[in-house]
Amino acid sequence: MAGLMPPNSLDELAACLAIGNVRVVAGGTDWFVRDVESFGEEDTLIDLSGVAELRGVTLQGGGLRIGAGETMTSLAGSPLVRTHAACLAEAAEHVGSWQIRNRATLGGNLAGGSPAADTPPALMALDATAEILSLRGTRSCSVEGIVAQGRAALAPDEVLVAFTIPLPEGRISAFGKVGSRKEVSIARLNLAASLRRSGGSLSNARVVVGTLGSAGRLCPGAGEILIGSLDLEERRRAFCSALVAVVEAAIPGRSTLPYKRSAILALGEDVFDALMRTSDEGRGRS
Amino acid sequence: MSPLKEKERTIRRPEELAPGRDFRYIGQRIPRADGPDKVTGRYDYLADGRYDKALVGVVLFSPHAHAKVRSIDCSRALAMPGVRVLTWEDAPDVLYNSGEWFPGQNDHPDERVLTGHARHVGDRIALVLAPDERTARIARGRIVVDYEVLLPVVDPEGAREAPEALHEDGIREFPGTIAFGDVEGAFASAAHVEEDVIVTPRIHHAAMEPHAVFAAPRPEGVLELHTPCQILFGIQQTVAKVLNLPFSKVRIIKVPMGGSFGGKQEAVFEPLCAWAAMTLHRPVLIVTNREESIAATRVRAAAVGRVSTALDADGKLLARRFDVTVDAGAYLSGARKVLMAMGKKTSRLYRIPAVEFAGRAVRTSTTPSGACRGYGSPQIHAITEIHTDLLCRRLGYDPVDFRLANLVHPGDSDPSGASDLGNARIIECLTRGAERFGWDHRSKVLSWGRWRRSAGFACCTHGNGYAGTIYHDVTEVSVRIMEDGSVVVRTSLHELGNGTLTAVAQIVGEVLSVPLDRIVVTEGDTQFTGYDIGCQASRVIYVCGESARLCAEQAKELLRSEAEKLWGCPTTYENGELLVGGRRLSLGEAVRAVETKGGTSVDVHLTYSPDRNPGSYGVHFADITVDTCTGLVTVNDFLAVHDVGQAINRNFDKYHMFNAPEMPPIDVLLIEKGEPGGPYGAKSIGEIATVPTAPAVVNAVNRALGTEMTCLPLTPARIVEALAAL
Repeated sequence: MAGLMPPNSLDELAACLAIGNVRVVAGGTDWFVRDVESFGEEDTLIDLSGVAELRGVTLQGGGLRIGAGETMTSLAGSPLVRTHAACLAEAAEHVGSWQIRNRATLGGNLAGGSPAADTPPALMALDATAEILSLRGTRSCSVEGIVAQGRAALAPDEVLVAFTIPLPEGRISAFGKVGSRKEVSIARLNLAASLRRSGGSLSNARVVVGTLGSAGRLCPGAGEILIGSLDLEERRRAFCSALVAVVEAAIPGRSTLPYKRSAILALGEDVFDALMRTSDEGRGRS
Repeated sequence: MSPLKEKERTIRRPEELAPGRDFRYIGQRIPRADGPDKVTGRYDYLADGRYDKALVGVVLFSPHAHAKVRSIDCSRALAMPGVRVLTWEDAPDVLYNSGEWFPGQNDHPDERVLTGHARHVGDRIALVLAPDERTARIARGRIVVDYEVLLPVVDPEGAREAPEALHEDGIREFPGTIAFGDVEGAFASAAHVEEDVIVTPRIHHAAMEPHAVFAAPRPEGVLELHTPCQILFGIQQTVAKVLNLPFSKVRIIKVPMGGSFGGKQEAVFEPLCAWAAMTLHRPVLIVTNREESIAATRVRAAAVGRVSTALDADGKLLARRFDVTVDAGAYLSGARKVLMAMGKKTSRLYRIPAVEFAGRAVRTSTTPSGACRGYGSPQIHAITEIHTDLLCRRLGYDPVDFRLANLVHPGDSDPSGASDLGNARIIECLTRGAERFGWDHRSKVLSWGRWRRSAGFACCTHGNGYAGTIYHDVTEVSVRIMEDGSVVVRTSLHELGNGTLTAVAQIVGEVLSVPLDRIVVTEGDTQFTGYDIGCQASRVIYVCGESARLCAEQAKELLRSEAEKLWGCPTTYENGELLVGGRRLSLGEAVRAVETKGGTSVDVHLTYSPDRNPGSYGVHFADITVDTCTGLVTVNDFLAVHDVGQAINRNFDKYHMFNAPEMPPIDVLLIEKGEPGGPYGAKSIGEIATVPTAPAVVNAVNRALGTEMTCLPLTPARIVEALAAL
């Protein structure tokens, strides 16, 4: 049966998924440009935008739960996201244009499988876990795991429902992006990082570079340097060098390597400075 | 129609038009007549209309840069209700050149409405028609084409040496030269010779409205075509050629346009649409989406320019030599014209005693090129202005002083033999611009962290029509003062979105002292409005605007003299009224009397051909910051200085050349010293506004970084690469 199904709840969604030959679309900002012409007569399009349970940003059991249907605009403006997941708010704020951000969703940005997506590295840096619904039930998977599997991570009838971000005490995060221009730009390189500060010490760094062939690449070495014991200037330099090494290892021989090797320096500086600034401010307040 | 058919030229020629005159409408800030409808969504573009009984056509484009069609299977498409398919096998063999706008211009014809030999990605293989666009697009997806893929040629330099010519005509290149003075001698005696190679890229126009055209067969064998185009009569002659119809049977109507910038200047889908309508005896609407408009229409021609400059010991220009290759793309289109337009500018900005310009247009397996805002001017000025900055740096000249010593002066002639430069105020543009911009302090290089900040500028010139070139420049206009004193100005103008109609209304309103909301200026319709060579060559204000002014003057005089005859007492025209003896008559009363009692309508038709073609001049200044890691350039501040003779609509000083979140504050400085031959002393601004922008930014980046980048665009990757090579 071909057509459009607009479920309003998870129960209705489940009934729609049972139809078979389904395509699932949330904001549709990529789908309508890229896939609409391949939509067959036998296919059914499920519009997730009316499913109430896919919305909402709440604090739950020591974590931040974000509905997969939240738009980039709502994430960027959410006080909870800005407070507890700053890098995600910053990433959402720089996706596409205003019009795109008003439609595009957090779940769609991950499910679309683009290696240049902006929010997956932020979710990875925050160690987020995804909740996935299908007729076979609900499963959860780390965003890191989803990104690693690329477009194969989700079956055609699987729907991202929500993301849960653990909220350890004192975590701060930052995001940076290089495109061909300031706004309305697809990332050529992006970088998200988070760490914990307690008292004077830093720990639990997660540094993720995006757009190096995959939407997110965890860089433990750069993370170690970030929270290491070098003095600030040395640490900044070493952090940037470690990121250059990540780029060189990730895309050897690619024509974009000379540029990305240089551009990552800028991202490294900016994200490092943002983290240390936030860190100082935190110290000042406490 | 009035008995007055003006053929004689009677131009008022003040030697110096005083600027800042007390005008009623000229030089004021006048809201555009089409503004309210456009911003409220009531201005319907072609694709917004309803076309009963029309078929909607989508073109099947080649996905290959070079390929021959072995076979095409349309059976699955034709099985859909209402679907028709026309392929290259159905199409006429007529070859045409989309850039030819007048019969006999002899632009080499090498393009057909549909082809089985695809020469670029986006070449037209077939036209798929259905009652609606969606069905047409689905049907197109069901056509199976078997291609024999051939080796493409993508590099213009390579096109000259490819083992086999891309076209059956076997022509490798279309050369052109311009030369004057003793170039050999100048180079032999020069104290300094500097040379650079500058590469400028193809650019797509990105008009908001993608290409669309509508054609319908009408009674008595007339083909009616609605198109948002720039040269009605050029489209007419191309369509007539393809359909083998008399011009009189081809009616072209200019419809509302959502931007062109030259992208809709050439005949792109018009011949195909007209042929399909006549073949199927049905109205046909061809629509494109953004992707198709980019791949299958026209681009600014990419150019590779080698320029050598000979200087004497004092830094005076002795001679310049150019070797320029223009990439025509898959078809010659207007590319050779663009090449020659580039050459024509080389003797009109600096005083150079000797120039040798040698170039060629070559065809490649890429999107065809054509007109794009400036028609060769952006390319040649990028070449000369980036080169001029680099030679100044190498020889230790100050770039402002060097230019001031070499720029043209008002009244200079063009040593190539083209029209005199007129009231050329480039020196004033540069001196006043440098002062306003604060060039002395902004041009210093600041350096902090990974950032460098500095400034750059570039000078340029552009024309005002075709006088003094190999092309003719003719326009017709009619002004009719109506029975209520309102005015219709019948023209074959094309509103391209730049406010042309409002500007012409201002000119006519100024002459007649009639409020602008009582004046209507028409666009062109080849069956009802007069001849005009098209809205191209930055000629509209200087040529068409002047013709409207002259025509309105004659209408005014006709009414005055007829009234004088009628009432038999001295009559004057004052402030939009007639003073007959001691009596004041409104325009409407006077026109009604002249018609009913005098038997004459107040309708003047004028044919006008200018004999001058002065230069417009401009300098742009850019203050920029470069991130040396990402290669991203931020333009912090921008000043555009333009010698416009006389501003017609003061809104032009809000003329925005950027529109993106990174648009810098743009300051505009108009130099208004009057231009003889133009309406109220005005000359062109339309195209030149975009000409020196890129070289100004390039010069700023090169200054900030100490680089010598000459390959445009300056992508972040190229900037990072150039920095790494320092």
